[in-house]
Amino acid sequence: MLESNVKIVNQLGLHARAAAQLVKLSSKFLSSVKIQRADSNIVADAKSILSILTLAASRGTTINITISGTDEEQALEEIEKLINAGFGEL
Amino acid sequence: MNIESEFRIQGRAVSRGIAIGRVVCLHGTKRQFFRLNLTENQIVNEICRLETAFNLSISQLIKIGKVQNETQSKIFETHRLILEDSTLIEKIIFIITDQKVNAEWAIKQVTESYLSIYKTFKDEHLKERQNDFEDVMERLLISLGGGETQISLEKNSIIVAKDVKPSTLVELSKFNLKGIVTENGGWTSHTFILAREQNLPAITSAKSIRRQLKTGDVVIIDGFNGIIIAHPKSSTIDFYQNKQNHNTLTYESNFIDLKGKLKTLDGREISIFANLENADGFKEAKKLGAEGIGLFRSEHLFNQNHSIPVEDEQFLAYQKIAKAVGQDGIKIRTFDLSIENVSNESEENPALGLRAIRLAFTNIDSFRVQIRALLRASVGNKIEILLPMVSDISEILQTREIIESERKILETNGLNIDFPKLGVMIEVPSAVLMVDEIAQEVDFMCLGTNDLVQYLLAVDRDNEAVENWFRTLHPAVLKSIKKVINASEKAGIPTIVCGEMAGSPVYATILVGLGVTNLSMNYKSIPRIRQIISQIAFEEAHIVVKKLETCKTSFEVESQVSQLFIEKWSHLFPKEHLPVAKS
Repeated sequence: MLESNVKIVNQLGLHARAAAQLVKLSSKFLSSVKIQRADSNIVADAKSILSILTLAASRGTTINITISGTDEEQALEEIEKLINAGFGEL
Repeated sequence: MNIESEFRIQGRAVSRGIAIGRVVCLHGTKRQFFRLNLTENQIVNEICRLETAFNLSISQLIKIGKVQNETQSKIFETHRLILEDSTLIEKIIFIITDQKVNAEWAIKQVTESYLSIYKTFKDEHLKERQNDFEDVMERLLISLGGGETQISLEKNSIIVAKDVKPSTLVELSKFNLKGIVTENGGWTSHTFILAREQNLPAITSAKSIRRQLKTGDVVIIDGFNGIIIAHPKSSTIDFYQNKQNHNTLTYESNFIDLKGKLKTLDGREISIFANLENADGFKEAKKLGAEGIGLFRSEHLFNQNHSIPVEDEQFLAYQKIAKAVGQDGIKIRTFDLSIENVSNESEENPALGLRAIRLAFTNIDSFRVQIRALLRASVGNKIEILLPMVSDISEILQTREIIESERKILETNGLNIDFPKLGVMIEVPSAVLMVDEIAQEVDFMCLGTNDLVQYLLAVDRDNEAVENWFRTLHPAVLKSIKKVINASEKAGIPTIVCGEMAGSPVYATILVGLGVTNLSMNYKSIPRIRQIISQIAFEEAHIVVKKLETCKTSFEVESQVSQLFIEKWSHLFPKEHLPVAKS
C-alpha cells in the first residue's frame, strides 16, 4: 500500500471534467485507489466520478491518495503526475 | 373522513369547469413524471427499463461526443462517466426494489440526494457540477420515456405541477384526467389552450401549491372562480357535485380584491379611472384601484354657486383636486352647460342648442377665464383639458389658439406653463364620422356613451315616450365605439370610455371586447368592474363582440348578449343583471 499527499493546483479544482480524467486514469489500474481530503474523513473511490465529486476539493486543497494492489507504484506515479500538472489546465 | 381540515387556495381560472379528484404531483422539467407504486412482479421489468435507459443514454453520449470539438466532447465524456459509475445505477435500483416505485421516481430521489450535497459547496466552480449532474439525469429520464412505459393515471386524477408542458398534457389526456393546477402559466399558454379545447378545468397562479398538496390528496378545483379546495368536507363535495350536475352555474358574489394593475385573464391591461368632482373622494377611489380622475365635470363648481365662479375660485378648486390626485392625473372637462343654465333664455331644444363648447365660444371671455384658471392650476400638477360636445375640428383648433394665447400672457407675467394635453368628448355623430381626423388633432379622446346614444339614435334620454328607442346596445352604437377605438389605436392616443357603460359589468365586458383599455366610472362601481374584468379573458370578450357585430337590430344584440353571457359567464353575472331584449 502506497500513500501520498498532493495539492490541487488547477484554478477550477477537482471539478467534473478533472474528476473524469482522474476516473479514467485510475480505472486503468488493477489497484484500488482511494482519495481523502486532508481536512476531512470522507474517503472517495477514485474510480467513481460521483464519489470524487462529493469531495468538493477546490484549488489549494491537499488530498491524501492511498493505493494498494499489484500495479500500485505505476498508478501512484501517473496519478500524482496528472494532479500536479493541474489536469492539463495550467 | 378526512383527518386534514379543508382549506382553499386562490389562483386564476384559465379553463372553466368543476373537477373533483385526487392530486397527482408532476415532477421533472423536460419530461414530466409522477410517483407510481409498483407491484412485486413489476419490479424486474422496471429495472430492465432502467438499464435500457442507461444504455441508450450512454450510447447517445458517445455518439454526440464524437462530433463535437475537444472541450465539448470532454463534457459529454464526463457525463458518460457519471452514467457508467456503477454506484449510480446501484442506488437507483435499490430504491426501485426497496420502495417499489417507478424508475423515474427513484431517479428523482437519487438526484435530490446528490444535489443536496453539491449545494453545500462553497466553491463556485465546484457548484457548477450541479448543472452537469442535472443534465445527465434529465437525459436519463428522457431515455426512460422512449421505451414502453407502463404508466397510467388513476381515475379522477388532477395533476398538480409548477408548469405542465403541452406534450405532457397530450400524453396524459389518454387517461382519465380531470383537471390541472399549476403555479406558472397563463391564459395563452399552449397547455391551457389545449385544456380549454378538451373542457378540462384548469387553474394557474396557485402559489406554492406543490408545498401544500401531495399526491393522493382529495381536491376540488373550481375552474370558474379559480379556487382550489383541498381536503374538502363532504358537504363541500356535495355542493360542487350539485354544481357539476347542473351544467349552468349560478352566480356567486365572491369578491376578489385584486391589488395592482387590473388585467384580464389573458393579461390585457385595463386602466380604471374615477369620474369625480371632489378631492376627498379620490382617496377612496384610489383605494379601490382608480388610476386618476378620468372625468372631472367642471360645471359642478357652477352648480354650487349658481353663477360662473371667478378665476381665482376656479383656480383654487382645480388646484386642490389636482394636488389630491397627484401624478395619477386629472382630466378636467370645460363647462358642459346650456344657455338655460347661465341665463333666463330658454330654448326649444336645449340638447341640440347653445351648450357646452358652443356656449364657451359665444361667451369667450368666461371661456378664457376657465382656460386661465386651468393653466395656472396645471403648474406642478397633472391637468389635462377636455372639451365637451365637439362636432367640428375647427372647435379644437380654435381652443388651441385660445390656450396658446392665454399661456403666452401668463408667461409674460412670469408663469412658466407647458401646453397642457388636450382632448375631446366624442358624443355626437359628426365627431364619430370624423374621428380619424380628430384623432390627429388631440392628445386623447373620451367616449361619453350616454350622450352618444342620445345623439346617434336621436332619442331624448329624458323622454319616457321614446324610452324604447334608447338602446345602448344598438348596432350603430357598437359600430361607433369600434370606429373610435380603431381611430385612437391608429393615431396612438388613448380613448377613455367615461359614460354609464364603463361602470356597468355587462357593458364594460363588451367594451373590453371592442378593444377599450381605459374605463372611467363612478368610483363605487370600481370593485365590481375589477372583479368582472379580472375573471374574463379579452379573447373571450372579443369572440362575443365578433358575434354581436353580425347582428342587425338592437333586439338581436340584446338577445345574443343574454345568451352568450349565460353560456360563458353565468358564474359572473346574475341573470337579472343581463339586458332584457326589448322587442
